[in-house]
Formats: sequence, structure tokens, C-alpha cells
Amino acid sequence: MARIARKRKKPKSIHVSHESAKPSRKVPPVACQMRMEFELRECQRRLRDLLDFAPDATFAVDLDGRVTLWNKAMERMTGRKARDMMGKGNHEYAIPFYGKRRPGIIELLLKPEKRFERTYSNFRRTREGITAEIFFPGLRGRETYLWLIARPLYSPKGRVVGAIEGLRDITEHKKAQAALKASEEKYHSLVDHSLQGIVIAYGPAPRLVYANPAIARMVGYTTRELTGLSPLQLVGLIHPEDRKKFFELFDARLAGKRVNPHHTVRVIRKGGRTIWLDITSNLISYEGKTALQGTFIDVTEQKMAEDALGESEETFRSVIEASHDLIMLTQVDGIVTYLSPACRQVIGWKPESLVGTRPDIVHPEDAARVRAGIGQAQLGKSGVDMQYRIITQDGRIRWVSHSWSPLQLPGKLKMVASVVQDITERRKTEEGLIRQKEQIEELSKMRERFMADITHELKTPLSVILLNLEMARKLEPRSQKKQLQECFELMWRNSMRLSRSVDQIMQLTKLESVDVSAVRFRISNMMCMVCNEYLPLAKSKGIEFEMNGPPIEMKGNQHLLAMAVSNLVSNALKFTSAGKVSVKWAESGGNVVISVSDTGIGVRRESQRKIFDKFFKEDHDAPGSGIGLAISSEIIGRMGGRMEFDSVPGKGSTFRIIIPKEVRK
Amino acid sequence: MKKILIIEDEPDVAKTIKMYLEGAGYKAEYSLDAAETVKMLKDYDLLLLDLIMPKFSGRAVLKGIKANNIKKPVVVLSAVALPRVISQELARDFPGILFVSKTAMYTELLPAIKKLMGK
Repeated sequence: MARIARKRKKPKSIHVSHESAKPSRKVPPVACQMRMEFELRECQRRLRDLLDFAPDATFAVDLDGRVTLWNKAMERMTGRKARDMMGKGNHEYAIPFYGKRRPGIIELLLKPEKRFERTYSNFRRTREGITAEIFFPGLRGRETYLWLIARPLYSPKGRVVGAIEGLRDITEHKKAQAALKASEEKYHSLVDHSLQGIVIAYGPAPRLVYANPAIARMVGYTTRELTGLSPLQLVGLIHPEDRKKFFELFDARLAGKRVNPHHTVRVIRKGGRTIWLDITSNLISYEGKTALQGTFIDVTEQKMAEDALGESEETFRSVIEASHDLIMLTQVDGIVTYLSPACRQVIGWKPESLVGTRPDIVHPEDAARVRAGIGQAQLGKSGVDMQYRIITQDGRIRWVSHSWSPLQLPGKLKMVASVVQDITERRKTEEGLIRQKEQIEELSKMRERFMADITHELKTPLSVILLNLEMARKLEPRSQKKQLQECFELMWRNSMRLSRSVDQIMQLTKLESVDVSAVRFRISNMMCMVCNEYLPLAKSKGIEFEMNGPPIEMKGNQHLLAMAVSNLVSNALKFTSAGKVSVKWAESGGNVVISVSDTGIGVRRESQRKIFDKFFKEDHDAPGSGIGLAISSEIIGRMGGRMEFDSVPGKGSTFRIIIPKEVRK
Repeated sequence: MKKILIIEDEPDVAKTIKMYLEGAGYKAEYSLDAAETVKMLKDYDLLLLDLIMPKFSGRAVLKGIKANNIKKPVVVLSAVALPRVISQELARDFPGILFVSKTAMYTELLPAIKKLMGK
């Protein structure tokens, strides 16, 4: 202990050995001597007590290395009692520490020995004594650092009589020091290697007291240059447009005001380029002064990308707004969030009346199909060219083609992007083409059937003629005259029928250029001519056949009209197996109405629309060519008249020709 | 004397065939309506059947005969445009019947009847 050691100027008070404490002065008278000895002993006892209760472990040796002092703290540190140690030499005191006999600094003080001095750290020898530190890995079972001090002890005459050593346990202090050092090293390492720029600044006139390598790289200066910048130079680093705001925040932050610690600032790099830095600042105490620690992240690239994105967004927006197709954005729940300006042209709705809603504009007949399609979009599937009808704001129907694709932008809700086209015109054209194609196909099928049917029509009378000829050949003219006559009758009639069929075919092909030149004629005459032709057929089928009407004269082509009527009568007899066929005519207004009624099979309801079509036959197996009514209708049309009919399936039909009395050319 | 039933909607054709068959020594009768053919057939030995008729076609009659398992010989007559196609079709659907084109009746009808009657 330093304090004790310094007391060597009052040597009396530190006589601690009985031997060395013997008075050496001239012997005083006895009473006086006794009193002095008593005082001395008292003094020594008090000193021992003091040393005993001193907090630091302390011991002393004489010149022979024998222990002359071993205080209580020493007992606690070593576990050895003073009574066991007192008077012991031969490095006895070293055993509790070193586990062997060797000199400690107390003896090295008197007898220097280099190889032992090297076992200490911070070994320092001065005129006054020795200080040193030493580490014991297992002193009384624990790691212990000791700080040691040794001083010589002097006799009253100033002769060295021994030495005293104080030992202080500095383990906790050492550990705290080591932890602090490690923490400091860690901090420096972190800050120095951080990718974020870090500075510590004082104010109010800004000065950097620390700048890490990262901030130096960002701004293009060395760390030393940065910490050397004057307040004016520092202000110059901040972009002029951001300067005012930046230093307002700097001052406010430094004054401890609550402001947003994060902001972005433009900084001018060495060389003049502008960079964007994100700053976070913290109020700290640095070397006893209030300071700001700023952390910087270079966000220049991000900013530039944002600017570029802004530009490209602008480009895309103008493309979308110029598009003739409707571009639509919807949430997955169907709510529309954007409609391009083409909305009004394409779907006939104002965008503002649909945005923010789930539009209900699909034609009811297509709604289920569209819902299913949109359901696919909700599942994240895309769709192409779904065609459906929509109803415009003013209630018209339009066809659209809708294609869509799910859209997932980073950090945004899932959306569906759609392109909608108006295809109303296209649909019309397509539908027209499809109808035309169907018509052509049907016509071609009808022509084929017609060829088969017309052949049947020609072959039937021919077969009658041939078979009768065969018979007639073998008949005896005189004895079988009646049979022969019948044969000729049949042949004649069927030859006429054959001829009529051929005429019809010719008429059909020539009808386009037929002559409708008009002559005056009596209708009754014409009707008699037609009916006479069919009387035998009616008779042989057992059908009642009647005709009547007033005497009327009309003007037109008699032969063509006869053909038209003839076809009606032929049909009536063909499709009637029992009952009556009646032919009537009358005048009505400026028109002549001729009607042919029968009690035949009638016309099925589904066939009534097509009955005047060329080659139409109700039944594939029905006899006839299917052109009779078509020819009649064509003829009457050309004469400026029209045809009508009523029919009840299974009961019979009435066909009417309504024709002007005076047919104009 | 063998009795032949003629089903034919065209009166002139029916009448001519009847006369022709009677001249050849058969007893022949005709009906212009095919609806009652199956019922009438029990009184006859052979059926001459037209194919194309309004209301009740020859094919429908053949189906009725087949359905009633009637084993009377049948000669089908027709003035169709493509007799070979029709005759093959009928031979496939109704085995055993013979087909005679109407325009060939004057040479083929009697041989066909004889062929079936001879069996």
C-alpha cells in the first residue's frame, strides 16, 4: 500500500518486528525507559490492528525473507492464517499464490532477478519500490488479477530491514475494462465496415467529428477530408434546393425537438454529381457533448428507377388512353377500378358510371356464361376472345370480345386486366356469311333431291306408256277393241303428263326471262281447260271435283296463269285420297281471286313457312318434284299478284291466287 | 288362279299394271291407299308395292310386313332416279324381296313374279 510505504519519513511508526524494534539510542532512566517501551508496544499493536483491518491484503518480510506481517485480508485471500505464516522463510508466502517456493516482488525489491520479473505484467521499478500486475488462473478457485506494490522497510536509522507488499484484487476492474474494450472494438468494426454511411456531428455550426468509410465512399471524400470540412463547406455539400429544410431539421433535432428522424436529401458529391441519401438521425452524447449520429443510405438508383418508372407509366398511360379498344382494370371481386376513355365507344357507357361498381351490363342470355368466364379470372386464369352481348347505357345491344389476364404488381392487390373490343359489325358480317353458306348448302341439297324427284316425275308416266304399249302390242284390235282403247287413253294421258313435266322444267329454267305479255281472255274458259285435264285423275281416285265462278274477263298471259292454277290442282289431287277438290274464282276490288281447296292431308305447321320455296317437299318420300308451288308463286309474283294459303293438317288446304284484273306488262 | 295385290297411289299406273297382270293370267286388284296393306295381304299370294307414295310410303309398308312376320312374296316397284342404289338398300333391309324399276316393268315384271311364285 502506497500510503503505508510513504510513512518511511516517520520510521518509528513502522517498526513491526520485535527484533528490529529494539531501541538503539542511549538508554534513558528505567522509569522513563519502561514508559517508552510501553508506548512503543502500544504503538506497534495499534499499527498491527490498523494493518489487520486494512481492506488490502498486506504482508511483510525481513531481510532473510521471513514473514513478519500477515494481515486479515491476506488470510482471506490465501486461506493461510497469520499464526501459521509468521516467522516462516524460504519463500513460504509464495506457496498459496504460485504453488511453489519462489521470490515475489517483495523479495525482488531487495534482490532483483530478471527471470522472475518477467512473470509479471506492467512490472515497474522506481526509486520508491515496485508495482506490477499478475494473473492467477486459479487463486482459491477463481481467475484473479492482482495489482501488487512493494516498498522497502527502514530501520529508524534509515537502514533497510525488510519489505512490505500490498496486494489488491483488480479482477472485476480488469474484466470490465476488457468488456469495454471488446465492445468498443465491436462498435468500431461495425461502424467502419457498415455499408451505411455513419457520421457524428456537432452543432449548431455543423462539424463532423466522425465519418465512416461508407459515407466517404458515397460522397467521394476521404474520412479525414470529411472531418476536416468547415461548417460552410459542409453546408455546401447539401443540394441548394434541400439545404434550408435539411438544416432546419438538423437544428430541430439537435435541440431535442420531436421531428421525423427519417428524410431524403440530395447531396453533391465531390466532382459535382448529385446523389440521393436517406437519413436517419439519433441524438447522442459524444465525448460529453450533445451530438447527432446520422445514418445514410444511398438511394440514388432507386430514385432514378422511380423517375424512369414514372416516365414509362406516362408513356403507357397515353398508349392506353389512345387505344380504340377498351382497357379495363378490375379487382378480383369484379369491382371496376379503371376504364380507358374508349369505354363510351366500345360499350356505350360513360366510364364514371361504371368505375367503383360491379357493372351489370351483360345481356341476360349471356350472363351465366360471362359469370363462369369471370370466375376463371378470379382463379387467376386468363381468357381470350370471350364473345357476348352487352346492353349500352341507352338500351341498345352490342357484341363485344373480352380478353383478360390476371395482374399481380409488387405490393399491389391482385387485379384483372381486360381488353374489350366492339365486334358488333364483325358479328353481323360473320352471321350473314354463315347464313349465306347454310342457304347455299341447303340449295345444293335441294337441287340434288330435285334431280331425283324430277326423274321420278318423268319416269312414272313413261312407265305407264311403256307397259300399255307392251299390252297393246299383244291385243287383238277387233275382238279387244275396248281394252285397246283404254290402253291408248292411258298412253295419251301420260304422254301429256310427261310433256307437262318437261315444260315445267323448261319453264323453271327460263322463268327469269318469261314473257308476261297480256291478252284479254275469259277466266272460265281457262279454268275449264285446266280442270278437264284433271277430271279423269279425280274420277279414278274417287274424289269429287267441282269448279265454279262468275264470267270474268281479265288481261294477262293466259298460259302462264293456267300453269300456276294447274300446279295447285295437281297438288290438291295428289295429296287428297278422299273427299273433294273445289276450284273457285271471283272478283274482289280490282283483283281476281282464284282458290283451290281440298280435303287432303294439309300442310304441317312447321312446313308452312317454306311451302313456296323451290324444291321444297314436306316428305322425302312424297311424290312430285317440289317445284309446282314455287313455279306458281313466281309466275303470280311476276304478274303483280300474290299467293296465300290456309291449311289445317289432316283436314285440308286452300290455296289462293290474287292477281290484278289488268296485268300490266 | 294366283291373286296379286297392287299398292300404288298413281291411278293410271295401278290400272295399267292390273290390266297387264290380268292379261298375263293373274287375278289382280289394286289399292291407291297403302294404310291397310298388311290387313289386306292375307287374301293375296303376292304384293306389288310402290315405294314413293304420299302419307304412307312403301318402306313403311315393308316395315309393317316384317314386324308382323308375314311371309308373302313382295315385288317393289319404283320410278326412282337411281334404281340400283335403292334395290341394294332394300335387299339389305328386307331380304327376299325383288325390286323392279317402273320403266323396266314391261320386260322385268312378269319374270320377277314368276321367280317368286315358283318358290
